[in-house]
Amino acid sequence: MYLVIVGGGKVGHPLASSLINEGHEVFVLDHDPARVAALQRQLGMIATVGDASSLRALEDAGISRAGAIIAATDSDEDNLAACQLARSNFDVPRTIAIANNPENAQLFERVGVDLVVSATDLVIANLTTALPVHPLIRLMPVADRAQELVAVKLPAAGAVIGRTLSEITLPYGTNIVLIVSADGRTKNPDADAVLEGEDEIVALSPASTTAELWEVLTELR
Amino acid sequence: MGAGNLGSSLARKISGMGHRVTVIENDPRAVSQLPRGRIESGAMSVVHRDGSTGAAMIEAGIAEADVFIAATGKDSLNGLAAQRAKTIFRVDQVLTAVKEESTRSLYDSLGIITIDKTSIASEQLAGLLPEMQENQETPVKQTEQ
Repeated sequence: MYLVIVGGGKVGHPLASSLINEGHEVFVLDHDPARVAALQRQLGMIATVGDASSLRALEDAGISRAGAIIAATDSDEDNLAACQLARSNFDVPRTIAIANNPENAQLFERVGVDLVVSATDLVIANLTTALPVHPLIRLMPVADRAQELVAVKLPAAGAVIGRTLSEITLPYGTNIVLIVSADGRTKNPDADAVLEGEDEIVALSPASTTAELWEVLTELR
Repeated sequence: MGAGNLGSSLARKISGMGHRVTVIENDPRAVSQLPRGRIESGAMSVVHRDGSTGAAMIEAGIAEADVFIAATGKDSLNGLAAQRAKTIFRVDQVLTAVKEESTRSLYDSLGIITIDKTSIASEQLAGLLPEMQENQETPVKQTEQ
């Protein structure tokens, strides 16, 4: 497929290289002559200097026969303009834009960009999967924020696994409201309820001791 | 949005007609082009922020705005801000300054009124505003080249 990439910087340059390796025909437009020179040195004559939001520059890049445009500059306004111009003036079948500022991702989708990649959301999603998955979720503040309703997921290898509620010491004032097991069953938080790995604990906790509660529930064996 | 040559002269003109005007402008030098008396008297407000962000628009009171005008010197920035004003904040009348003639049809098709700042005097544009208020259903006539 013939693809036009707008922006040959830290995203556009490696993207062009990888798309070429996959067998696509690629052309890159960038306003910075130094970046264009770097692309030409490494990948051949596949880049030219031009303004992403100029019809003339898009035309020179052969946009009218492109199967898709990928707007990957660090300027969200230029990314949006390039996609919209490609669609409205050249009927490009697929428009793809990077939203550097996450608040623009929703706007881009609403105004018709086919695929929006939010750089920030990607980073966050990657970081989240790299972190231990027993987060503390604050559900709701209660009693003028003196207390809060929270949910904590127990780690499979947690110190409290296999013990009953009466056997563990929770911070003073903590009320366990509900226990939801990994398969979705709910257990009453009685004194003899046994905690299992991956259980979700819903608790009403004094705001000042929530961090301590999380530590008790997620401590590893 | 934008207090450059076009933005500041528009702000001055429209404010002089008795409309409430808030200008979003990050650059202190551009802000200094605005009529200081009107700002001090509270007739005109200035929000010192990057105008294309939702936060700046909210601070400028976009929720109550009847008209949003994107008047920076960068077409694509004007286009983004105008679409945010129209799509996210649902402002009735949205105008955007466009330098490159060839991109006008895009904004026309999005229902955004384009201002070609090289060929339109701010007087002509300001003259359109009372019409919009009296009869909001009638689209404002495009200025001819």
